[in-house]
Amino acid sequence: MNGRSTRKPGDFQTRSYSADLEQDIVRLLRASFEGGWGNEVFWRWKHATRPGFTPQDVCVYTEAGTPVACFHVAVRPLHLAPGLDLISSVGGDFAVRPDFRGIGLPRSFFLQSARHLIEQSVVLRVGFTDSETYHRVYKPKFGHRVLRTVTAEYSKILSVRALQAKLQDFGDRLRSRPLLQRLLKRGQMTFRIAVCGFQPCDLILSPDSTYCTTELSRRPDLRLRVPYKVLASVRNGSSAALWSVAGALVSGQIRIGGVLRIFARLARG
Amino acid sequence: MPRTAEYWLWTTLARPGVDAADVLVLEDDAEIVGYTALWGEGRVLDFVVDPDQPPRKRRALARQLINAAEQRAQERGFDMLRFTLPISDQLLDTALRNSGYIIKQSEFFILGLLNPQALLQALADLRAARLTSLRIRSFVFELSPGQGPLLLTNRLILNLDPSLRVEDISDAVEYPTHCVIRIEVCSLAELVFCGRSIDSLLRQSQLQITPAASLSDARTLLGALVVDTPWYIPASDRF
Repeated sequence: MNGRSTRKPGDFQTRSYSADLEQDIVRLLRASFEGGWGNEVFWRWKHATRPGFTPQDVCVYTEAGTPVACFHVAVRPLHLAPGLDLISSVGGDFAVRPDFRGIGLPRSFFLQSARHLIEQSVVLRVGFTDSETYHRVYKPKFGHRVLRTVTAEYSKILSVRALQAKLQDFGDRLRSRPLLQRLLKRGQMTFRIAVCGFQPCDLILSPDSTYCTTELSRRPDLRLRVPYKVLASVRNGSSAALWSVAGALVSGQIRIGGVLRIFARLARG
Repeated sequence: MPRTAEYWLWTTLARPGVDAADVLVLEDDAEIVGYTALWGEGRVLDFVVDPDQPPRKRRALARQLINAAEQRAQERGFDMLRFTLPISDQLLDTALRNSGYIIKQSEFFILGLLNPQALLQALADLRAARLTSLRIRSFVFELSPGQGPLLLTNRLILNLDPSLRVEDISDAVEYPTHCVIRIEVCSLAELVFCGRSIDSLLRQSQLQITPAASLSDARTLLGALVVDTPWYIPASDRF
């Protein structure tokens, strides 16, 4: 049945946490999060065993006893500035079954939970989201605003498997360039990429596919040897990147072979 | 989040997927000078190097801890290692960049004002010293919800005398009008937390101050309410 066409938020029952809801909550979360969600052990750790947890921190909307949406909050003091700690409600793990979306259950939860949160001296509602959800939902519908943070994520590839995945993405982007399309008209091309500290890979580009492998061909069209640090500095786009590349070229840390063959191929094409 | 032993035990050691060996401690003369904890898929929950160490030593300690974390991540078979750190810590930022880390800031930490009365009270208490010179001693905030789904109070009064107090006067028929500040709750959040300037709000009519003679005092008050400390949210505090 499609709940969207016939239901209003007031038609649903709401329940706070009880152990019998765990399976259904996790099922809802798993169905809602594209990147996947954990299991019941993870849910229990994250919510039910959290210091300060109360059953009211979980709100489940049910229809005929079946959970169709769940919302979670954690009431915590947030340290905002020296001398300023405010009790805040951190929201997360919001899930609505796809056939019950668009009828205002999140808004209903926001309104319904407000009094209870204020009674707990909550001043702010905070949460984590991505740009798309913020602009589509949180800003226009809930009046939330993005905070200026200095939080940054630093990441580094450690395995050749992850490196291959990145190279494959890079190859896909490269393949869409007009120059590469011209080159690929004459058949597939193999780029040998040796990133220092990793097993070398062959990036094989054809007009309609990209493939990255550690099984190396005998005669790649182009050979590139580059330190990982140089790749990272280029990705970071810092002003130091240019110096990093120039320094690596001069010192021989970056090596490129087969450029003439590429020119010849271009000339023939 | 204020760190207590109970909170740390829950957020780190009791977290499914964290092994005691994923918690790495750096010691110097039997004193802990650094600490990090790894979680599934190579996420670093916490990374701390004693900020009181001299810069050169702190740099060396940071490098040592990064290397140890990478080694542990490789033992666990993680494909990537991801640190969440304040970009404002230049020493750690440089140490990670020099170790070949790629940096990005893509996550949004969002905020909505639920209780403006409690917020104004907390901020006014904190900045009371900056308000002593104000000529006007009572300010009325007329709030509208803007894009927010609800507004529990639509009029507040901030009295500086006899004691600093913010009260809900939504139902009051008469109230002092020495300075009336009309603002949407979302705009108030922007002003306090998001670096939005008073001038910009005034220009776009998202903030109105009457009478005009009270503008200077209102500016001083609103300026005192701004929280400009940079926010940092460690991975272990994510929800």
